[in-house]
Formats: sequence, C-alpha cells, structure tokens
Amino acid sequence: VEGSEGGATPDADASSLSLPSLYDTHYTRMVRLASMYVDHQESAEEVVQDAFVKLLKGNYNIKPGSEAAYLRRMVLNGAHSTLRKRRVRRRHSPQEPEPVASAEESGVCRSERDRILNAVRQLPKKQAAVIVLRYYLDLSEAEIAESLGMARGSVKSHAHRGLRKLQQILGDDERTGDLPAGGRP
Amino acid sequence: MTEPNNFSGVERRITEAFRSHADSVQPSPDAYARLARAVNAKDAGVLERWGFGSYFRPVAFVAAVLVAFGLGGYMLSSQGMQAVESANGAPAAVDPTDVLEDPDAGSSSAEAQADDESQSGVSGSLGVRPIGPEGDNRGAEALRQTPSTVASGERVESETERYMEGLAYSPVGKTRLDAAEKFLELLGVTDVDVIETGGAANSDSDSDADDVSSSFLVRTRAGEGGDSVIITTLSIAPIGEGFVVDEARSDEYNFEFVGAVEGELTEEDDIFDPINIIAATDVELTDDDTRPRTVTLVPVIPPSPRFVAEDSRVVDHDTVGASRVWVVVGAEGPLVGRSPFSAKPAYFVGSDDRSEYTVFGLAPDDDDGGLVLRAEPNGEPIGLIRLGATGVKRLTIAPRLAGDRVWWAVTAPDGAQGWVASEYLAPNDAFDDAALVALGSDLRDALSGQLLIPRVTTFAYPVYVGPITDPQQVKRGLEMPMAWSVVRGLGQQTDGSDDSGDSMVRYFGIDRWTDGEIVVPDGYLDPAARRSANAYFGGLPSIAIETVNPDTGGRERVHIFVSHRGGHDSGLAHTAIVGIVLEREPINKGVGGRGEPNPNGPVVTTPRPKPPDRTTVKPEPD
Repeated sequence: VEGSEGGATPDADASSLSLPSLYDTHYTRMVRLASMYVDHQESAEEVVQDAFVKLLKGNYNIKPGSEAAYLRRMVLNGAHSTLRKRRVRRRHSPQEPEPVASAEESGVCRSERDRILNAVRQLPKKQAAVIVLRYYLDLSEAEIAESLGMARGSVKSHAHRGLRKLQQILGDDERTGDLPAGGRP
Repeated sequence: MTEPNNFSGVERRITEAFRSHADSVQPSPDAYARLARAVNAKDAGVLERWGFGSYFRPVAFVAAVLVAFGLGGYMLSSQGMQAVESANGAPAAVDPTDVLEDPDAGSSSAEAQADDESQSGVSGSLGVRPIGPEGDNRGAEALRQTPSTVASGERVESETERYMEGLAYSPVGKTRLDAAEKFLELLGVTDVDVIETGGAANSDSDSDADDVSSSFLVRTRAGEGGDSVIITTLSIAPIGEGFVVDEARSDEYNFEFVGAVEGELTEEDDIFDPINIIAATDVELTDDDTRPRTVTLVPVIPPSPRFVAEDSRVVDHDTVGASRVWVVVGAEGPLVGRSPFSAKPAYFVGSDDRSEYTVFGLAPDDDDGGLVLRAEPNGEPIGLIRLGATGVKRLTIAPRLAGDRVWWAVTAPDGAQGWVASEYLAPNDAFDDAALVALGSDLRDALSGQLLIPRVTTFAYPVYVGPITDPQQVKRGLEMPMAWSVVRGLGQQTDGSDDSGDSMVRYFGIDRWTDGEIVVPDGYLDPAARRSANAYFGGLPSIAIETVNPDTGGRERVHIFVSHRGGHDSGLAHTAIVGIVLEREPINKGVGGRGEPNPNGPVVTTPRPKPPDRTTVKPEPD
C-alpha cells in the first residue's frame, strides 16, 4: 500500500523540510493515514495540513530523515485529537445530536473494506495506530516504535492485542466464510 | 493467553482493506495551494485568532517577547518567588487569575533576558524552555528581596480587565506551559525541552472549552550529535485556577492517562477525555503477570484539605505494566472548574474593595491562636496573624501550591510580609458584623447547616453569567436564567439527566423545583451560617433564587455561587458552580423586612442542624 511517498526513505538533506519537498513526498500518504481514523477526507486533510504547518513552523530540531516519523506522529495525534474533541463536544453539548448508528450497524455500509475499517477504528488508540502503521504503511517495528514513541516490545504487544481483537470482531465473518460485498445487512 | 496466534486470515483482510481504502483517497486538487497559504499565514493567523488585530500587534509583540524571555511562569516547581515587575521597573500586575507565575519574571533588563534565553534555549515566541536542575535557580529569599510589591488595586484591576476583555493576555499561554513543566516534573521526567506546538485557543468555536488546550512536544535535549528524541506530547487546557491534562502518553517513560468516566472503564475509553487530577493516592496495581505492586499517584494540583478523595478507581486498561498511572477520583466540595482547591478566585487581588482580608476559619482554641505567617509557602513560621484580624493585604504575587494548600503572599496588619494559607482569609466586607464565627477549616463544619454541593463536578460550562451580582438584586438581567442553565448543564454533564430538575433533586438536595418554585428540605441556615457562607464564598458572583413559603410566609433562597473566568469574547470564558447554599428566612410575606416575625404563620426557628452527611444527601424525587 503505497502512496506518492513511494515507500522510500525521504532524503535526509535540509531541503526535505521545504514545503514542496514535504508535500510531494508525504502529503498523499499522510492524508490516507489520517483518513483511516477520521471518516471525512476533509477532516483528514485538515489534520495533515495542521501537521505540515506545525512541522514547518515549529522550530523542531529534527534529525535528518526523521521528518516522516514526526509527521506520522503529528498526524496520528491530530486525528485522535479530532476524534476526542468530537466525543467531548458531544458529551458537553447535550443538544448536539448523538452520533448516528455506524454504517455497519445501520446496514448502510456494505463493503468488506468499510467493515474492517470500522473494526480498526473500534480498537484502542495504540492498537489501532500500530495496526495501521504496520499493515497500511508497511512500517517496521522499529519505525512504528519511533513514530509512536514507544518501545519495540510495546509495538509487538499492541499489534498482538489489536489483531486478536480484530479477529474477535471479524470472527463471525471468518467462520461463515467470505461474505459477498455488502456483508450482513 | 489460550487463543491461537494465527492471524494470517485477519492480516490478509486488513491489508486488502487498507489497500482498497488507500486507492480511494486522493488529495483534493487545491491541497497544495491551501497548505501553502496556511504555512505562509500561520503567524498572522495565530495573532488574529487570539484577538490581536493590527492595532494590538505591538502589544502582542511585547507579550510574545516577555513570554519567550521567561515571563512564563515557573511557579509550581519553584522554591521561592520574586515579584513581577514591568519593564519600567514599576510593580507589574500579575494576572491574578494565574496561579502559575514565573518567579523570574522580574528580570527586566535586556541582558538578563538574553542570558535567560541563552541558558534556556528559548527559541521563537512559542518558546522552548528546558526544565531541569540548571533551570531552577530561583531563590527562596525572593520574597524578602521584593518587599515593594503591595498590590495596587487600580493596576491589578486594569490588568484584570485586559484579561477579561479577551486580549489574550500572555498568562493564558504561559500557564499551560508551566502546567506542562510541572506535570513532567511530577512524573520525574527531567532534562527535557518543552516545546509549545500551538493549539492555544485555536478554534473558531467560542463554546468548546476543549479548544483552548495547548499542545506541547517534550523531547530530550539535543546531545553533542544533535540528536533529540520525542518523549511525549501533552495537551493541556487551563480550567478554573488550574489546568487539565487532556492527553499525554509515553511508553518510554511508562506513563499514560486515561479518561475520567463514570462507571466501568471500557476499552473505548482509550480515546482520552480530560482528567481531573486532584489527589495523591497509593494504589495497588496488578499487571499482566499478576505481580502486585504499589505506586503513588501524584496529583498535578494538590487538593485542598477541604476535599476528600473517594471512590478512587484505578483504571488499569492499557495501563498494565506502567510504572505510573493516574487514578480518577471523585471529590466533594466547592469546585472551581476542575481545580477544586480554592473557592476564592484570585482575580480579586488588589481590586478596590477586595484588597484587604480578614483572618477567619480558625478555631479560637487552636494552639497557634491565629494564622501563621511563614517565610515561604509551607515554610518556617515568622509571625502570627490573630483570628479576626482585618486589613491583611495580598501582594501582587501569584499564589503558590505547597503542602496541599494554596498560599498567598500577604502583608500582615503590622507590616510583616510572608505567606499564609489562603483558605483562612476572606474579604473584609464579607462579614456583616465584627463578630467572627469560629469556623472549622471544613466548610461543612463552618456552615453548620445545609450546604448542598454537587457531588462531582468535573465540568466547566462555557456560559456567560454576567458581572458580580448583588444577591439582593437578583431578579433582573440574565444572571438567573444563566445560572440555571449552569445548573442544568451540570446535571446533564453529571448524569445525563434532562433539565426537568432531576439533577437538582439528586445533587443539591432540593425536594423539587421549577422555574417558579423551589421546595427545600427541612433545615436551613441561621444568620451566622449565612455569614459564614458569605465569608467562604466572598466575592464570588452569586445568584439567589427566591421564593415564598406559603406556610410560613418566609422567603426561601437558594444561593448559587459561581466562578466565572475568562473573556466573554475570547472563547475562553467558562463558568462553574462552586457551591450552593439553601437559606430559609422567617420573613413576613408582604412586609419584606428581614427577620420580622410572620403574623400569618409560625416563625421558623433557626436551629443549627447537624451538617448532613454528604454521602447521604440524595433525596429521592417524589
């Protein structure tokens, strides 16, 4: 699963922190990463744009070649922050309508893909992040650890827990065989 | 761990789903243009969002320089303090709402600032400030070095007005940076740089208190090779007189936060909610290996002695194996937002009619016989201010937290200066007469009557309540409905109830109520207790809802004490109920004189009822 980043490690020279370079190298991939969490592409792009702005304006002493890890972390934090603020806003604003039933529940979402994405979004934050970075960005354990600021052992444990939970969530489907696109109503 | 670990099936499905999803997401055509505009406009945007138009840009620049050069506070980690002086040498008014002041803010010379910058690594207006041993060079003798900092009522008021007008006076951002540093200090994380990465008041929304949080990046200091490792990120919001850590986590340092929720925590709560950290607790943890151990949970803001942490609950979800976790506790007592350590907002410091205080709340037979004046917060005694002494003046120095108490720097009536525990000071005019009631330190004892306080208040309601209201003139304006909206919101936040009054019944012990009627349980405050309540809550905006008891002809009031903070136009305002007191008076209907006998019914006697057990003051609705 590669975006425009092409899977290559970004150039480690100073020019990699210029906007055009960062954009060409990381933007698409980061938007896709954010869209794993926030369900609207517009929100995903906002998260990514915020991350780019922070990175470019934040006076970070970034180790050359580490900007991708910074960006990933900022994007993940931004995406989670967006989700958290939604929850807080709902909790503090009783008049705000409750979230509608998920597409899965309402039967609107009928694709295997969306069912799996919904399942991933149900995972705890760390588990979801590890799963996404591992199976979406194909990052190594070391890269995931760097991106999430955790030990490699934690990456393993979160991945294991996440997969186990996904297996539980999706288990029924597995046992009943591959469902046709659309799944259960 | 009895399940098989063969995840190949789910791995395949995940990979395919991700691939399919990735193919469906493409950046919008104008993404680069928008991003370029955002990058180029970022600096101006910050100022605009903070309310700085071009007219205020010079002010913004000065504020930014002051913040960057260390005007930001260092209060909590400091052992001493130093008065804040403005650049022209005059005593500068500290934003009195800020409990986290920088003791070094007195440095006014460019050279000193430059030195400070070079030592601290400050870079840019957002600030990069190291914490660690070399950063803590504040002296405990600072108070003695700055005796000329007696509050100037006019000046402080002016500063307060600036803050209230939403000019984004720098202490807002400064406080959060201080909070971040203090938080890391409590975690034992040292030798790091704390970088504010933005987020302060960065929302156009004016109703979401969550949006005033700031994000901080914590990283190790760059070594010789220039390497720096990000340890964690923090999201911190100022609430009341303190702050809330919205989010922070780090595996490297094994700390993690979980959300404060009612009921059993589920894995869904891994998405963090703001936490109210109010009490230190030793807790037993059991990790995956069922290895029990005890950890001490350190509060970011120490609790007031008035507050009792109960219902402590260790949330072990996803914190298993962590060396430190945070516990979510319930608390009782008047709360200011989420920071329940003082019912007296500091922004009254130095204002015209609040600049002098009276010592109260001490038992006359205390060994000390008065309020101990100390050389530093919770430090060595240097004097005594007798119970009932008036004319205690606060200094324009921000409060300090030490030994679970909030300490004020004051000038005693005899001119001596030092630190006192703030909970024993009330504004002079809070007392109706010279007779001081010997009060316990606990408000429950002080009132000896019905004190009905929300059981749990971890919520600040962003609503405009209005200026300080005379309780005798409450039947006009927006104050009353807005106060009720706070009450309703409180109930909704606490238990999800609607505004039918269930929350009032459940949390405030009111038998029933409508907008036009309040029925209170038996028992009420006598005048002495009312004075005590006034003393305790003195200076807070209060709303009194009044009705007439048809049986006695006496008026009944519910006083709702509200703490309101922030500028109304800045999006930073919020209001919290800090206490509710019921009062029933034997007042003659139609006459209206206070205390006159009621010819139409029995005069209600005013015994001093035993303070209710707050755990049981939950009358059920009819």
